[in-house]
Amino acid sequence: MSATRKSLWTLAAILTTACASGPRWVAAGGTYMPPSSRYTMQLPQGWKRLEGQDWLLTSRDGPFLQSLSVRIIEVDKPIGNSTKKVLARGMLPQEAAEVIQDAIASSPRMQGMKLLENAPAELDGRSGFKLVLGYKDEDGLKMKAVVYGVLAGDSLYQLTYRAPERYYFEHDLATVEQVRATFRIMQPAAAQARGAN
Amino acid sequence: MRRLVGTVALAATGCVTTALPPATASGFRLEDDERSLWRQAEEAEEQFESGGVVYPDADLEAYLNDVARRLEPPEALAAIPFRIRVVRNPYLNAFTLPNGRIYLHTGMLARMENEAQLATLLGHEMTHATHRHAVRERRNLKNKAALAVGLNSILPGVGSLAGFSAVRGYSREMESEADDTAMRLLANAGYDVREAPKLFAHLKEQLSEEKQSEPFFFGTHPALDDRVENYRRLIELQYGHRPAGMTNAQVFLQRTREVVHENAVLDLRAGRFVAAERGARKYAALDPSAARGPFLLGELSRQRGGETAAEAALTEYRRAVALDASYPEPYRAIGLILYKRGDKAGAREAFDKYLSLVPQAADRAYIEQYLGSSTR
Repeated sequence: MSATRKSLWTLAAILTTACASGPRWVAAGGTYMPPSSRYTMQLPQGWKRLEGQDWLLTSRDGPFLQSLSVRIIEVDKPIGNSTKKVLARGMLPQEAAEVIQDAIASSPRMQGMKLLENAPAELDGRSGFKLVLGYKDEDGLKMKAVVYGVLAGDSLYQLTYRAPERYYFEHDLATVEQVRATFRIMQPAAAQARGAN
Repeated sequence: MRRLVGTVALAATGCVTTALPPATASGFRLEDDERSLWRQAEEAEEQFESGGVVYPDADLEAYLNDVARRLEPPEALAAIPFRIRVVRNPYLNAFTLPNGRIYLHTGMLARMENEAQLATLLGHEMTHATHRHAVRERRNLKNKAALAVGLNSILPGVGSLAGFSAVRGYSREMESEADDTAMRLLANAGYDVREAPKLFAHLKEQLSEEKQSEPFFFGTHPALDDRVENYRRLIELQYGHRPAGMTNAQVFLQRTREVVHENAVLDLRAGRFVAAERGARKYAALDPSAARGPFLLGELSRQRGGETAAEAALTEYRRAVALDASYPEPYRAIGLILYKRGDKAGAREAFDKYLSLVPQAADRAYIEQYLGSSTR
């Protein structure tokens, strides 16, 4: 591990573990299933994930350099602070993509967002969407993100990979695609039988 | 980090006078800490503007700068290189950096009714620069609690500029000074001074109707109440005898028409439906021949949802098509609604038309998927 990588992980650790009981970074390689048991995926060896929160955040070199996150958003529930729009039952993948895109574009943390691609895509064999976005973060760094989403029942499963546009985005994209291919949504009954939430 | 160090350094500069003559006074020179503040503003501004947030309309910018120049005396324009910029941001705000760069949010501009109201706001903002409020405020920042509040401000869409007092609003005394001076500038330029309190009363009324929470200074009820009260008091005590001046409503509305549309789109994206509808209706009224007006109203109906949403949206989309048959977006929107209803023939017709108008449509892959399934 390079000195830069080490120091970025240290910074990430400090920022995320200010409280002893707060989230902490743990090794992530292998099968991952969240406490809610609502999906599974194979995380790459050498990556870490932030433990102790209700959505998945993983990274190899620290979240400032690349991150892959998984979020589950329920229909008719707020998506975040930046938009009051909500997802609705029966939305086409394109309509769901529009809501997610608007939520991201309205975020104060993403300046000058540009939509680079909006296309149909599959997640766990289900029809969904793929958005590729370019933007600048709060410090003016050029970033790129790819967002996959699929509506299944009353939930949208969203995988987001983001990294600085220069070098890092392309560097880990293939790994992220491999992870996406392993993503499986658990049937509600199976999920309920396995865990909480 | 640089901002943090700069702010702390400035806060620690010891006891220096906060009573400074305005930049219009003869022999005006920047003081050392003021020069440093200008440099910080320039750096932050460069970073801010590179973020793609500035609304690029050279004609509009020229118009705004022309109004600003008509307000200030030559000595003020010589001392401060004023430049007005418009920022794509639906929140109600305007702010001035110490170096004379003034940023107006689309959310502010789109809600104004005439040039006299614009001049009121510009006069107020320019006074923050001519009366050196930034450096005076920094010198006033003596206790660490105030400093912490400033640094911890999280304001949407202002990025590198969030550390400047201008973005969050100045002390009540300085804001009042800006009101007094703005009123004088407005009157001297021949504008109708009665529009000054109307601007802020109008903004307050809209905020109440929209029931939105706004994060910036001009989006808070106390700030708007203070402005209304100050301007009404000034009219009563000093300007009541003046004949009505110019408002230039027609010119202003024509110049800002596209901003109204842009801001309604931003409000719609943020799910601020009441504000978006107000903007969309204002735009449709300003340019009844533009297909974008009814299309935006259709989008609003569709995205708001509800039992009659699809029908209301279809009506607006068809109005848009009637106004401009070469405008592609309504065809796609009609296609989507018909596709979801199971009207495959109707959807196919609309999608075919859409793709014939924009063969390179960004969402072509989706449309082809729908078309593929509508033939099965």
